Amino acid sequence: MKETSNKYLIVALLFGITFHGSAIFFTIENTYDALIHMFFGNHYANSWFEPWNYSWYTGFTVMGYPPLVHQAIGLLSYIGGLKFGMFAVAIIGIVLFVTGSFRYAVLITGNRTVAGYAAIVAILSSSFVETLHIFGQLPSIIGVSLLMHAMPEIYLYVKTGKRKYYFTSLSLIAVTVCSHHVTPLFGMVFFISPLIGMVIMDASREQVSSYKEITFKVFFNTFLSLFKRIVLFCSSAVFLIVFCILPYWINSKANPITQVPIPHGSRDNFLEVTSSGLMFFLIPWGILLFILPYIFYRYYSKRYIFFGLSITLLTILGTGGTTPIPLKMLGETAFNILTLDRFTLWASIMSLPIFGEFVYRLVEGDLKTALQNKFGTIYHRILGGLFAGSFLLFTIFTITLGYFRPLQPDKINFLPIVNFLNQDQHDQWRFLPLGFGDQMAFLSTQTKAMTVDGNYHSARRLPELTTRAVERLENSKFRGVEGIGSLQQFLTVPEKYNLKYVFSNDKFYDPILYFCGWHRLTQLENGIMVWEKLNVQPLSKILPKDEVSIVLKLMWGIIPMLTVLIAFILNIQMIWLQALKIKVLDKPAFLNHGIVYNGFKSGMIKVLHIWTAIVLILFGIGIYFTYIKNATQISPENVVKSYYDALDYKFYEKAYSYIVPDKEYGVSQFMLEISVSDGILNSYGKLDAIETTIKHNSTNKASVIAKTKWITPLEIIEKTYTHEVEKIKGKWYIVPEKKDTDLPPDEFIATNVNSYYKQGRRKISTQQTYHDDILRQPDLEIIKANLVYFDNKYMIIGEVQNIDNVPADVVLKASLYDEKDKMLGTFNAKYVIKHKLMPKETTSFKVNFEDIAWLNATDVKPTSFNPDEFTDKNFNNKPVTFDIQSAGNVAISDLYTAVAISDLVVSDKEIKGTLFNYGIQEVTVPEVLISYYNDKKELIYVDHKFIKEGVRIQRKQYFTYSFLNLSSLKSLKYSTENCFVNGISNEAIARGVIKKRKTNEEEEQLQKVNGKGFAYIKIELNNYIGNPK
Amino acid sequence: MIKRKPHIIVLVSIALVLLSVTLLDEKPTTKNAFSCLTTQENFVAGKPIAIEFKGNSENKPQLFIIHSYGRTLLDGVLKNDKIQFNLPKNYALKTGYVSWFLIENNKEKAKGNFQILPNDETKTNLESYLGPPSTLAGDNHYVMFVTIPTDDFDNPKLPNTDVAIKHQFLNSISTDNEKTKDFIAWKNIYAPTKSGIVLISASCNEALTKEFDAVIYPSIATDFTISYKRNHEFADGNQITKLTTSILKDKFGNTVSDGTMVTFILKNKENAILKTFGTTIEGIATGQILHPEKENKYSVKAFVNGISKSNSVEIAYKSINPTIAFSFSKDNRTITVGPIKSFMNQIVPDGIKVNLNIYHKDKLVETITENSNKGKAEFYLSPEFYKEKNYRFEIETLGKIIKTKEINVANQQ
Repeated sequence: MKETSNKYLIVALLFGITFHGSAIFFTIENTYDALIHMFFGNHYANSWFEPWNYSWYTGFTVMGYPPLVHQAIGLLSYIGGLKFGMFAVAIIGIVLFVTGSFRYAVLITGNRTVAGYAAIVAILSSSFVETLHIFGQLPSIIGVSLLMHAMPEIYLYVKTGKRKYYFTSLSLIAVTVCSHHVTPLFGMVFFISPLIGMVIMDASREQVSSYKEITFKVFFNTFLSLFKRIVLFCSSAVFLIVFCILPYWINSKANPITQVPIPHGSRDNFLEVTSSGLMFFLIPWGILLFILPYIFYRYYSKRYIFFGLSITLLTILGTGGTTPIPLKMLGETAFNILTLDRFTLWASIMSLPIFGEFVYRLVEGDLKTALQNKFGTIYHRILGGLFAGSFLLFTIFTITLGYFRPLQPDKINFLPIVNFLNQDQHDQWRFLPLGFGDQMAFLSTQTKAMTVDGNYHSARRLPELTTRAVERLENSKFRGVEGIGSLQQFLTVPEKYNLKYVFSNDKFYDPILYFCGWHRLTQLENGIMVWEKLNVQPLSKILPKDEVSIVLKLMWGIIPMLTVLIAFILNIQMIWLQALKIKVLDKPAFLNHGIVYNGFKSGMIKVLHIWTAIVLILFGIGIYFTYIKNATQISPENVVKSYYDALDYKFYEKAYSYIVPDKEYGVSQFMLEISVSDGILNSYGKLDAIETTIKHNSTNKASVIAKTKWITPLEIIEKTYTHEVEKIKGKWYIVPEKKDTDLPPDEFIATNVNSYYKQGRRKISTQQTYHDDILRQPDLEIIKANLVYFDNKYMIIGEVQNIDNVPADVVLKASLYDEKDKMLGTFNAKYVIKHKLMPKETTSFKVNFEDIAWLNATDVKPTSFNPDEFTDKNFNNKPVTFDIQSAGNVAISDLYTAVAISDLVVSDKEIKGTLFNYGIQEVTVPEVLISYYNDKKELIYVDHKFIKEGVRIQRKQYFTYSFLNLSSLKSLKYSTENCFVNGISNEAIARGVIKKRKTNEEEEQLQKVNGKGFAYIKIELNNYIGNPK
Repeated sequence: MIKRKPHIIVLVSIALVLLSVTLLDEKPTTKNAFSCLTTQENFVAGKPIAIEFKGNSENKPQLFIIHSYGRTLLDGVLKNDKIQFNLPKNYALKTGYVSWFLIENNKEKAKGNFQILPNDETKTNLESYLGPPSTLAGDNHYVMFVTIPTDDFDNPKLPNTDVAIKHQFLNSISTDNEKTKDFIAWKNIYAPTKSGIVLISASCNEALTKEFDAVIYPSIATDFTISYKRNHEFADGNQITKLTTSILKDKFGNTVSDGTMVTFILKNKENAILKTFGTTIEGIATGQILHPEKENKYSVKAFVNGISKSNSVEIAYKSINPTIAFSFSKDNRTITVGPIKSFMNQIVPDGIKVNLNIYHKDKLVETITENSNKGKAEFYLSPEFYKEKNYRFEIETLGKIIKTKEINVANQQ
């Protein structure tokens, strides 16, 4: 019999390539994963056989991910660049998917027309659209497509035992393994096992006259007769899974993933976290939800029974944390490592043939006839139209999701950053992008410079990162305590990682950078702010790497492409013959087992109607609740919540619309009042949680208490607001609050300020800096230093002065030693120090010894968020002595000192003070440093407090600080004997400049307090300016 | 390890061959004497250097050279009964002592040494370094200028080579002739007592250095005086008093570096220490402080921390003695304070702090603070918190306290 070309498949291919092939140019760069794959592709393009990559983390091996797709991108990039490589691979993926679905559907249904329908619906299926256009999981798509291609071959091998099929099927399995390891691994369980079951079923069927007659005995006997083939095939497949990516397995053994589980939406309870439910359940299932009973009905028929079990399992596993079943089935470890969305993807792909069948029956088959007979032609048309309409709606909704709800920061132009890194040897240090999203991978493909961050967390090695459930440092603000805590450690001790530059695309991180001692260098043309840290050594020329044997390197570089080549040679003949119809081929065995589509069961029609009604009702309820929850002004609580929501996202016009309408109080006045309230909360706070309670309520008036919790880069802030709300014409509004009426004395201010400029190099040259172009390091003096034990912590406190004639940036590193002079720990001063000092300016400091948080599995992680929290270093021996290494470098910015303490009321318990800003810069976050002294006027402790609101020019800001009880504090060593400045003894440097310190004059400046464990205090100010003018 | 194995095998086999050769070769050698024909002990760098020997050369003796540049083994050139060894060019370019050993059949046959001297006929180069690039005035602070005169092959010149080191400061230019010792000629240039820039250069033969500069910074500040300036003497909580230092100078009379931090310490009547800061410009630092809201007296003293201090100055602020009106609403739950009138009977500027101390049975319940707006401040006592009926109030603003009698706060209807 001569076969005609399947026109549906051709339509599907043409349509698929046009639709997805053009859409990817607008979507794929904004997906989560695609750029990571491109980065890996770049790696292979540059060093095919060398698996070590220095760009991310502190170096990692690319043997942590199957290489085929990446190598393909790398190979194709030689033709038209990296992006070309990525798009080309994506298009190949689309073609493979469409053809794969077709072949798989032919196998399952045994009907080429039905398979054609399946191929068409496959293109538009929302799970495929989501995987490609939102997640960008290219290896996953290619892996599952190849698996679908392999399935008919497997069937034919097991069924017929022809050697040809043995090789074709295994060659395809090998390619699958090389492109995505998880797919064949789970594919063996969820796809291949039921397939083998189906083969046995078919073989049994051939022995009897109908499916009904297949008894267990018949089935078992058939199984035994096929047993040899099954075992041969399965063991060969397992061998390939191990062998083809052997270096991967060896690497996972050698570097087990120590990463703690990183939260993933697919593990959420979808009913609680509705956004995850949308992304990982509703979208992938899409229109299939309406015909679920049909799918299950078909898959639970005797022939497909094993597929039925498999799809049930997949469906359940795909529900994530909604039910406890997936957790119990997979076990804690697997549950936390796997992303569960893949199960839903597989389930939806498994459903494609049945979906195709359903559509075929609806469009031209027995379902059409049944519907027309029962309800009439018009009903059938309307139903078909609605069905097709909602199918397309789902697809369009999915593909445009990224457009309406951006998943990534705006596209960044990387050229200025790349130029910056190439300039002046900036690429000799590591850099850190902040707020770049997944685009950071794209930056890494464009520069030689390395970053401490990275976007493939399974490959991380630094315990600072593997112990945290943090995706990337770059977006650490979304990860609460662990995120900011992790970032803090990198920013406080950057020299450990040779980290000198931070590219910030998110102002949120500015205060943490400032208070860790970083300063703004320049704003690039693309709006990215460059922050710099002084006194960081460049990377050494030779960096460590994990060497692997040359055999593994060769295997890794050669096998994947070889599998493609072999699979191509083995399968091309078949495809060639099928496509060109030169020769009449044998009818594949599975074509004999399709069912005849006559007589759609009317019971099924009823079930489907009822089910659709149920689904629609559930949808309706969901939409109603979402509306009630999100409708802004229907209740007093909603309006307050919406108001804070709008403020949080800086939708001021929207926020204003919730304020009681008043002609006198216009939007411009509202905006003005917003704009003058600066500070850590208003400028950098991110609303984390809001809880509202109604204090009293009448029909038209209520007062609402809003307990808000804000995450700021520096600390958690909990603040309670009380709002009066009013109901006007059925809508609730907020009564505006009174604003600060403080009036500054002067209308116009003239002032002289010291400003500085550093030439860098005077000669235009790319040579290493000349001796005479190096500025002398400013001299510092460590005036006081004390090792204290307080609150179960050892810490070093002290006072340091810039005794030079130029402003200095101070880096202070303290180390603790036990009595045998063994070093116990070392850390830098973080927040409790003023990092930039004017000539002769003094600051107190405190060094805490932080450990890598939660290094031990037994450590209890805090559940609440506190960015200021850190894990103390545990000392085995008691620290008895310490040294301090400080380094001064010429600073030219962040030297604002024009804030006075203009009023102070001191009691035994607290101080209440007033700050007054008399300069011409607005202070965004004022920090108060409080030093405690004992009655001998010896420094015993230093504390800090960030003031929540800023200080505007010529205006006041009030603060209250409660004293600590220092009765339990132990002062262990009060001495500056082991203090060093710029590598030279502190005393030698200091006495060269100041022959004799007038300590009595310093002591005159202390404030007497009747405190617990202390007798005097000193207050110092550290002013962070968010927007320097 | 796999890679290294062939090497080890090769090395071991070479060693074995050598060993066998030496063992086999142990036949008695005839006594063979060599005499050195080259008597010259000093050579000049850059010129060809050859050492000649006389003797039987059939065993091909070799010359082992030890030079500061390195060690090597030379093969000779035979000429009749003489053998000549030519020093390789890269060795002949470098100065230093050279020891040689004539070796035949692994036996030392003769040894000697000679010296290669810098080539004065080539161009002189001068390498120089100045450090630190800046220092403080006077007090034996100095910068060190180091020069290394070399010949064109980068060989340091012989000891006692003359180098003229010049430096300029203001009107004076001085030249010192230093001689090299241990390759270098150097001079400590002591900082003058005046701040400024010292320019330094050196010359040797026709070679000149570029201009080096050392910045001389003023030394630390000495004690100074302060003064203040203000618009009026009233404690209105709004105007600013400016505190100014005299010109801060070091002990040599130099104005201190710009940016020197001065801390003004203001001790008020309650012994609380207020602070304001100034950084010097041309020696003068200015700090500013807001007028207090009530009568007070500040005792002000300024410090450069640990280094110097100023005199003490007293600043007194007079009370503006405001007239304060207040009224209660019908239910006594809203208290309106104001208009508050200032010293000229004008309404006080906005933003004056008004405290309302609320007492119940002579116990302070709460202090509510409001800022004045158009001379008025409004307080509302919410029935949620103030359930008790009778309260007494104290209105506190601009240093004045007004006490009310006990008032019955009605419950809202």
